[in-house]
Amino acid sequence: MSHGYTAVQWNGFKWRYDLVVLAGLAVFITSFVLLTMGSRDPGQSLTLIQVLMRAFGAAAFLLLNVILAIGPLARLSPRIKPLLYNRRHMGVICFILALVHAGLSLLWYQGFADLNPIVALFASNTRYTSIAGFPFESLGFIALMLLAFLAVSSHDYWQAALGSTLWKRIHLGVYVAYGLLVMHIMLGVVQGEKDLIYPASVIGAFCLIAGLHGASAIIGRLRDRKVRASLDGWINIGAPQSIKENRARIIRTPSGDRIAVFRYDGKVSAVSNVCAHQNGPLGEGRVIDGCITCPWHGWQYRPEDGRSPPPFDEKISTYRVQIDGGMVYVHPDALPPGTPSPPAKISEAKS
Amino acid sequence: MSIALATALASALGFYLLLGMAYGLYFITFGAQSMVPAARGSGLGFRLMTLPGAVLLWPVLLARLIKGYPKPEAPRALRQAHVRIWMFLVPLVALGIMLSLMLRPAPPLNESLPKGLILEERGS
Ligand code: FES
Repeated sequence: MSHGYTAVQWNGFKWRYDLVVLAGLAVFITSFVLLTMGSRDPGQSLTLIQVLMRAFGAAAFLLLNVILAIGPLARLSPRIKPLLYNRRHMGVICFILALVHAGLSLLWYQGFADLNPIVALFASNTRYTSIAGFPFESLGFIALMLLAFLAVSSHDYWQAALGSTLWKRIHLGVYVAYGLLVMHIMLGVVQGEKDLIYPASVIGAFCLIAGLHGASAIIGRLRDRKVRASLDGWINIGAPQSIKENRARIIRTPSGDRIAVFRYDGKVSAVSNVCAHQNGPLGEGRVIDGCITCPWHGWQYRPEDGRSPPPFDEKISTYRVQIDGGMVYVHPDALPPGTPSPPAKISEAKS
Repeated sequence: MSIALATALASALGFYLLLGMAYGLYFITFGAQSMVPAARGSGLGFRLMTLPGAVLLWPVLLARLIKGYPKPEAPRALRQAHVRIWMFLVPLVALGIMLSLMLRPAPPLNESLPKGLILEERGS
């Protein structure tokens, strides 16, 4: 949360997380190099630099797939949620791997030309209308640029400096980079390799990621009960006891907003389901020490006014809530972020 | 792309980064904390870490300094943008994949045969 910044806020979990990621990548890259060198056809001229280039590219692509899979998987299974916690470190590592891949490629293919390597990259192949000979390097270059923007702006500071809206829009660019990378591989190595492992793994990965995002969107819609506002505008969401203590029920209003209705400490409060940090689903979190705690990275908000406890100053929208006839009613119009909205007391409710 | 166009592109990129570097130096000394007061008193490590961001994002940061911040959009808008991107990406990439497989060059005849069966050139 945005109060005093450090370059990286390390803790034991983050250290372990990063070590596991780095060890996994080291094993992947080493195995890739050994397997590729070992299974080369006798006549095939593939140098160690070329194999390393592919290994780093494959590792970056693999990691990007993991990053993109974690979000929807966490929506489908709560056990995946801890992986969300340090996903941004994976993003930065992914960019570094892609940068090494690009550096080795430029060195090997353009490094010995008289031209500036970037000029040579764009000017050496101009067959933009051909499939087999498409200058796939340019797709990789654009994807690398996008990944660079995401990596350099991944710190929480940048969300505050750029403004939440722009920051989140920029980070949607990861999907564009992903699409470009899929085509970079399909129009690049797949065109020159007879081995089917390359197209099979890229197509499989793309189907998996697209399928997971589709499935999580559909399941999210089914899970969040869409409710109708009653005549006077209030939404009946049921008895307070139907919400678990310190947990929430998420509802989707007729206009499409998601509201998390929390029951805690004999009271009920309603806030936006969307965390101010990275849009984490607050309604899937719980009330800890009197604060709604986001399941993704642990940002906290007070249920009664949607504000982070001091010294932090993040805010989310709140909603008016009341209990009448033993039922909880929420008004679907969001109050401005940080507006106090008195909780409805369960004990006082007439049933 | 012609060499002239590629050179112009590379020069524009270099110029952008050069301006970004100049802005970045201002940013790590004064700019970072003036944009986000919570950054006041942050250490050298944090300031250096903001340098690459300032180098790449300087036009947006300048615009923020001059014009201020727009109102945050409703979370719904971002969710819709997310859906739109996938709706656009899936058919486009699927089409690209299909074309790249259909028009993929066939392997040379020798490579398409089972291992050990090598065609001998006629007349040799
Ligand atoms: S999304 Fe990061 S803490 Fe909520």
